[in-house]
Amino acid sequence: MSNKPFNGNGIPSDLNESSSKLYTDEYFQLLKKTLTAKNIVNNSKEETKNLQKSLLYPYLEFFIRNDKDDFYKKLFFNRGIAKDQKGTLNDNLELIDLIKLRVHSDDLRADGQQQRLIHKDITKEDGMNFMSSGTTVGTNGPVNVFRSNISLSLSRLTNGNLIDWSIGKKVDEGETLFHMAPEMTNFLAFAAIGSDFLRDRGLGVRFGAKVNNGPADSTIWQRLGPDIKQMKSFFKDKNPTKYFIASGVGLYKMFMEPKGIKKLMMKLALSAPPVYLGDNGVLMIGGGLKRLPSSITSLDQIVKNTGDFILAGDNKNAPPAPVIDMLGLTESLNVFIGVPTSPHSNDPWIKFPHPLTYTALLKSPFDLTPVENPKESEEYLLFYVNLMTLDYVEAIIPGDFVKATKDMDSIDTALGKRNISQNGFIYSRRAEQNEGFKIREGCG
Amino acid sequence: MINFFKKKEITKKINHKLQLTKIFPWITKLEDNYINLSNQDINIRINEILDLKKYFKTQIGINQLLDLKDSLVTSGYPENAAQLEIDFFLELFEDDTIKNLLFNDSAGLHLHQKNGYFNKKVKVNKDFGLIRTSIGKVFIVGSSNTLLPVLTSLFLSYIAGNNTVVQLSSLHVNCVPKLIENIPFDGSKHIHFTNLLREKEEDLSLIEALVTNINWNVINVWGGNNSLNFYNKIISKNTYRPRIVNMEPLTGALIIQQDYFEQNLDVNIKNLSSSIQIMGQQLCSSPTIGFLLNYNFNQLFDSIFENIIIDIEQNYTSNNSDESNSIKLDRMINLARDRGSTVYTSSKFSNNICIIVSKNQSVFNEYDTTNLLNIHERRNFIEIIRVENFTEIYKIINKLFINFSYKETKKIQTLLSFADKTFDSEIHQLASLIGAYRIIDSNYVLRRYPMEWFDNYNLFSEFTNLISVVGSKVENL
Repeated sequence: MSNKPFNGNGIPSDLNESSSKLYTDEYFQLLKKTLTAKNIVNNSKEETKNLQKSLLYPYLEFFIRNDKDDFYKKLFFNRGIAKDQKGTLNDNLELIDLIKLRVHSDDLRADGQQQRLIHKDITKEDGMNFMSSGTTVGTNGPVNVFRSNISLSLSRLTNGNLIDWSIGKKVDEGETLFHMAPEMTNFLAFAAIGSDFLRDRGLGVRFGAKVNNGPADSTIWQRLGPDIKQMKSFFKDKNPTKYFIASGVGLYKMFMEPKGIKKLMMKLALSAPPVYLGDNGVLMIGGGLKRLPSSITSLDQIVKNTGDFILAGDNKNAPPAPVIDMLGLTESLNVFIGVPTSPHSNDPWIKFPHPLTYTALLKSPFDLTPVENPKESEEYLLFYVNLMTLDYVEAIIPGDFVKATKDMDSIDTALGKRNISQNGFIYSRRAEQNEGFKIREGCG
Repeated sequence: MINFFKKKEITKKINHKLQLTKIFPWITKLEDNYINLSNQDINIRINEILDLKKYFKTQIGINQLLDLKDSLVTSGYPENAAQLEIDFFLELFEDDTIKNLLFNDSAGLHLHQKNGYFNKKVKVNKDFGLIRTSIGKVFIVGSSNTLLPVLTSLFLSYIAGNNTVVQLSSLHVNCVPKLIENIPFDGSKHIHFTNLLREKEEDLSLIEALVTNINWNVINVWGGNNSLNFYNKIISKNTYRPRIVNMEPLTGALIIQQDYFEQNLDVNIKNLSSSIQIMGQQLCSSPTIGFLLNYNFNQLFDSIFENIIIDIEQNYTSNNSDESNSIKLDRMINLARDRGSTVYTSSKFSNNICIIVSKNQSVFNEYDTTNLLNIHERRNFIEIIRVENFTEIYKIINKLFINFSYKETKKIQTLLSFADKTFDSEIHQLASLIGAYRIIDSNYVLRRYPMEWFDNYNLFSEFTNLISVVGSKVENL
């Protein structure tokens, strides 16, 4: 019997990490200890810096120790961070040196990740592959990233840290509705990792979409339809803590597109809008602008238009539910999380990395040098290294341009003040196709 | 249904043919003009061209050249490249240049020289003589990477006495006609510009109609692979079977003998860096791949390449308009590093100046890939391969043009040598095996010696008709 939680889909409930060969590795144990002692997203920026510095050599040594076919020993030498091809690391390496190990997201298309994986003889049961939509033309396939169960076990902790920090309490009760189909948790990183973590924390998880029957040559995206029954049951649920997780497209199709008779039919079928999320309810959104009409130029527009229909309470007088926007990338084990914001707020949506995600802003595509003191509001190219990804060196230039924020130690949110463990950024744009990266569906 | 569309297509073509004379009124005068030009003494046209040298020293002439330069810069040429184009354009009107082009010994044209004049009738011996005449109608297609070739073709065709029609690249479609039509020479009556843009669908069918319906005697195409494919396909529909002079996309290879290079290090570094940099590395002679012989990892090894980069930095012009290529470039450079090559980049301009030193083979030997730039998309970038001997060079070059980076290129045109004379015979042999057209020192990457043939074509000869006169008919020549 499948131990996959959502009608046989998604990340297995039991990741059985202790069966992994890497379980006893000192770096895994170090990470586990670091992540279970306390929520390190509450650390100060100084503490984060020190933590990242302290992990630099253990992180690199992990790959040397667990190398497959000497790939990383050679890579570290060729990229100038090791003295020889035996894995003797240079002295005095700094975090900034991690840029030398950069991988562009296009390098992870098709089987690009394969040679970088450290695992030998790993089976499908030991992990999952996550993929981008594959709709981009002119590439050699979708971004395709394998994640082992042991890495996924760490992602439960890190993404859990992020949500707890953003919401301001340990998230361990409530109901959730993912506005997507359970089948999408088999390949879509954001859906899989988010639903896995919330279920693992004991929350009820429902999916508001389903995959309908369709022509054999159609894609899963073309066959997606609403699951009225699941949505209705979530909307009717009286739990005071409900999390509604949707894409911009989902919100648009549910609350903005239907007019006249269609709107009435929607209301009859779902008993919504408005949607009551309970006193502690939060709307979480992600995804890009693809498949939205051209009049929609930012998710902010959708949130402002739908804010009055998604309420934190159980009656029409309840305030709009706060919104948390997340940046999820196929090629990142962690999301970059926003903070709770009023849907009517004009504050910029700042995304924050987990302390185990070392983030640097690069000058430009023409000069990939990390900028030490980025200027507020200026546009840079994003680079990050997930120090908790154990399957390969996840040092990624995803092709997203972001704007720097001012240097802050804390931020006021719709649910109280939060300290900042590492500077965040404001998402700016995907690079356009003629600017070097292929436009990717569903991210951003 | 299918027949209906076929009919429509034929009608469209006929309409184009009828339209041609309306759009290009000069077509109706081509035959009369040809007779007039053919009867005119070629020396009149030669003197006309030589007189232009004086004209371009007048204020009006200088202003016209400045206008041309501004137009080139506006259309994206680096300023120094635009200036070089102008400088070399002016050399075209020098006595020595004209003399070498028209009386080129290597093409047998010296037979036509008599007391400094061009003598179209030549008695070679009592039984054999030659008459060199204009050929008639010449259609020239220009490329966008450099202006000089199309201008050279245009003037040579006019001197030869032909009606000359020119299809220019979109970068030159305004500036060149403006120049030619406003300089004081009779050629402006005999040189016509189509003013069509191949990028526009409507113009494309007019170009096809022009190429296929007129009884051209010569069609001379300077261009990249796409352009050559397009024109050769439509030329094949021209039932008059014009002579085709294809100037293919070619590139250059560099030969460095390390010990020789080190003997005159500073000068050689300067010469090599300018050879790589000149005209954005887009000339058919620009070195895009190099071979290092007699190498040793002495103290100088790294500093040679580091200093070439520093020298390129001094004249570097930013080309930061294409983020796409920059990212691909970084992927390409990382690929080289991961495959064990040594990568030298600029501390000032990062990846934008890059020398990759590989061992025994090119590290970019993929046939089809999305992470490489082809040689037309890169600037200030060269891979230099350490090899043991010339046989290895031959083997690498022999396979080079199936690789993605070189797929759009036909072959090595130029071997640029930084080696002593003991290497000469092997370089000659290599050039012979790979079919190279030139062996040069660094002075001739951009510059051509006037006696040189253009990729095995002597253009003046191609633009003329050679009539053999044999036996008793020689007497009256």
